Amino acid sequence: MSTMTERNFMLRDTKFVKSLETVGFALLIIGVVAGVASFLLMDADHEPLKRFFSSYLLAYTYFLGVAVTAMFFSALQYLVNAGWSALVRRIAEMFAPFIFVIILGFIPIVIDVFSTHQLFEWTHAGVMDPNAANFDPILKGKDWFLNPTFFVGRVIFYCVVWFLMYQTIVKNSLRQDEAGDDHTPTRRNKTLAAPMVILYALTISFAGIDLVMTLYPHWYSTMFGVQFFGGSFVATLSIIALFTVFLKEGGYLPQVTSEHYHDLGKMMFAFNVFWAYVSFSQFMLIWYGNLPEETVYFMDYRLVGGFEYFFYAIIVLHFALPFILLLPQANKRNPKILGGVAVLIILMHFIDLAWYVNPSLYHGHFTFGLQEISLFLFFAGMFVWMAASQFKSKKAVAVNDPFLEESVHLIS
Amino acid sequence: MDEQTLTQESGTRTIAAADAAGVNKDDVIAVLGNFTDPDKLTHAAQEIHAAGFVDFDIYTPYPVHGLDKAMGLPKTKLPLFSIGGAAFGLANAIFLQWWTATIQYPLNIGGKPYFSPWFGMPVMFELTVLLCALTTVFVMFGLMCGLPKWWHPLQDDEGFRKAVDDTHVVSIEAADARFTVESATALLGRLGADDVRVVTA
Repeated sequence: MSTMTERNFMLRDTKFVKSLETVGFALLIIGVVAGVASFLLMDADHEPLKRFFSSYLLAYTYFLGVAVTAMFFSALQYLVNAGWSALVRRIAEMFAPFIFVIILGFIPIVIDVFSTHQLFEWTHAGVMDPNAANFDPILKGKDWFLNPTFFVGRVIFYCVVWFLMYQTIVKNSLRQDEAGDDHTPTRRNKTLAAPMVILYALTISFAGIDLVMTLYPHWYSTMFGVQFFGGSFVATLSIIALFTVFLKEGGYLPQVTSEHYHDLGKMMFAFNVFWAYVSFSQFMLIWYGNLPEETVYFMDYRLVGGFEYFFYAIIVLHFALPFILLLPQANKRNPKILGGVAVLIILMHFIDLAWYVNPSLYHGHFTFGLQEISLFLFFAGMFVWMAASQFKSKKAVAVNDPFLEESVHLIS
Repeated sequence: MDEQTLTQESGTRTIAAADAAGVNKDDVIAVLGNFTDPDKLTHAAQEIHAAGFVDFDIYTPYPVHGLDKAMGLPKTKLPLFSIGGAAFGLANAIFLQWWTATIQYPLNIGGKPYFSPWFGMPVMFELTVLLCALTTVFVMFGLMCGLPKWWHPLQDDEGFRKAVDDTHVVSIEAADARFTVESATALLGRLGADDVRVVTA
């Protein structure tokens, strides 16, 4: 233990933090400039307001999944008494404060649900009114769930849960840094991790259902929450792996070895297969069941008009290529290949999510472009910049974690 | 031989290292030593490997991470068999589904195509995983662990049986070119092994 606490893992003004700040700031500026340009240049016929909200929802949902799942990653390590991860767990915790941006970021979506009505069909005027021309009896039957009040209630519940997760799991991990050999904060986390993981499972599933699945409220899939979790988890693991590679190769975490890369690579591989398994199960059962109200979701929306190329790209670049690249042991231990696959998965998760969000809103029209990308870059900029501020003020390693010594000597 | 020598059912005998001076060298099967601390064991494995021994083995009640490297074992060929089994399973699943559904006995089910990769995928997945797992397990048992094996010359040694309970057992075998009873017992004694002993036929 002494060897670890002697080292100061405060990265303060190191090149790593400075580069993170620069990259974050650059992404933020590019996002804003590209966003302003692309939305101002849009034809009024193409509904720029709707496009703004849909691009916002897409980028927002992506980073919601990543920030909340980063806390889940930390809780999971406590829950299963993981020894291997003590050295890299703090990297995930650095992403956790982004949930405050996520909590505030719900406000535009709530505004849309109540007043502008650009996104969700079930908020449109008349669909719940039996006398209106566009009355939809199917949506009327679902109005106990799909109504603005209950929606906001659920959103507040998610925010409270994520705030609690942050206050317990992440804060206790930080308290352990100062607590020396008194392991009370770690013991508390071990107890709290179990209920927090259950609450996480509920909130991430329902957040995925509320934000993405209800964009096309006639369709339903019991797999949807799990597939949103799987995609978010593999993207989060990729971001953790990428940061680990940068920290190790920059010389800030000399204790990280190819054994840690190997274990991170194994988790990325496993959860990429998990995500593919769940996504394919959803698709295959609908193909086989061949029920019109279910197949329309793919046949008329997602496999036509240009979105079918997203589908092929997801199969090849999100599943097949990472599968082949991460299969050999030597590749998982190679920082260049591991980092490269991580970048690929990070980008492809965005394409995967866009393939679920955009077709629901732009029926039959291929809609994906600078607007989506600029808001993604804007959110990515905030995310990286926030991570930089965390690395500036907190230790990059959980220095007093009882498992740290085990993690340093990890042999996988 | 005095009372420390035990004669066992299958005829092998265990002799404590201190009493091994007069033992017939042609009868010696192996020199054993027990370890309870896995770190000491890993260190011992490194030292025995560094001393040039090749025919030595370690029996542990649970997988000790890093031991294969410490022992200087070559990288296993098992993944090649695994991927071969997986490819065979996948090819089988594709061929059997395609052939039965389109050539041998075509059936129209709800107007669906006779063969499609979508419905074939679960069977492809299952057969790939199944044959990969079966190949891995049986190749490991058969080619690498030499199973099934009804008798092992060390099995009657009392201390050796602890390898399934709470002790790691190191055996340096007489088949090794560098083996002498003196060098093996001295090495194990120096590395901190408990109960160093010689097993003879």
